[in-house]
Amino acid sequence: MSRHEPPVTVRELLDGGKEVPQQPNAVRARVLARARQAAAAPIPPAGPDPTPPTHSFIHPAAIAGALAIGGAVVVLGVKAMWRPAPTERPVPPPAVSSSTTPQVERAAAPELAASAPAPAPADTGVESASQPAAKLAPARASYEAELKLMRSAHTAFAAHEYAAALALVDEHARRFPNGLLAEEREGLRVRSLAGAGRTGEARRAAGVFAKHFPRSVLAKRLQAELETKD
Amino acid sequence: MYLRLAHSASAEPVPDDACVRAFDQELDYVFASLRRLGAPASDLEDLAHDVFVVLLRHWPTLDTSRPLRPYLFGVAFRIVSAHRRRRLREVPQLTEEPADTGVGPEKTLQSQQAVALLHAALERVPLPRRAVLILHELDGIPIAEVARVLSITRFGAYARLHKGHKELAAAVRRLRDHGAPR
Repeated sequence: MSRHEPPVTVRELLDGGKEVPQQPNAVRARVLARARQAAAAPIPPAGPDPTPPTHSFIHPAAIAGALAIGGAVVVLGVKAMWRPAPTERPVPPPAVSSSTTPQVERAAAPELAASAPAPAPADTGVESASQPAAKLAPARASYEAELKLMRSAHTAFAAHEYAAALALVDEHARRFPNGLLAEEREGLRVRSLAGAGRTGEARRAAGVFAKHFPRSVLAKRLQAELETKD
Repeated sequence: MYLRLAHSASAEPVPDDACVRAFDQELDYVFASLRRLGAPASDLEDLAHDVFVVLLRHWPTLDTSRPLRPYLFGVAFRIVSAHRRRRLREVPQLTEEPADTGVGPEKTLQSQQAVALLHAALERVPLPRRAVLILHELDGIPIAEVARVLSITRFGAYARLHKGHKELAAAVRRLRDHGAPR
């Protein structure tokens, strides 16, 4: 603004800035053409939402899970080899896989479910071969219900509707307190609280998260997000 | 989880042309909001398209009985925030020429200067408070709705508005003292 320009107050500036200028026809045509093209194409899997890059924490979880299970199997195999009397079957894998690495498996299980159509939740390899399909159906239904709920929560979070996201997170916690997506749910709770500006509560929730999921790959990321809020 | 959620999102029904029509109607507003939020003029078209992509994705679940502008502003706010984070190391562009408004040359000049001053001053207000100022003061959105769109409390919205006003006034003063952009 030049010096000889008449002085205007902030209020006048704001009033003058209310006008929404029209875009040139060429710009409008270009943008709408792109929009129509995008609408005609299949819905994109992920938008420009600054949601976290998925691969950075998916792969470590899967790798950690695989390594832990593989390591346990090797250890048991070696133990079995050193046993004096070969009177029993060599390995009891279900007990090992569920007791040694519960946390890592929890993080990895949903991803396995994503890649395979079979319901991964309670799948331990040995049992799945003998379990009848009818037994798996409730687990699959429950998992799908969990997934649906968390999808809605995630959609609300992505749209910055944190209150709605938190309500859905609470509903998930009520219906599936120990669900397969509990870790993701609590992570989303922390992020939603932080997004809503409830930083204090977000910190407390992050503390609870760290206590319950000390080996979670999400923990570091949540901490980093909270630090950016400061 | 996020990967799987993203995969399963493609199962949603394909939105119809209504989404494009709604976007067409609010195209000028989307551009104006992006501009007011400090998006560089060179990136406006791409960012507007990003807004459309989000709108398209959420269209099947969107409550179209409510006014669309606050929702679009919320999306634009999020997109500009992410865009700014990506360009954090770059020098902010404060002096962009406002779009042609189609009025007479003298009035255009004055109004362009006023708009440029407003944009430059807004640029100096931190984004969270700038968003409240724009929504409430420029778009005339009630403070309760502002709080809802930005997912903050009503008290928080008032606090941001109050502080934003002070910062805006200070920025206008500074710009006048040191010469406005352009």
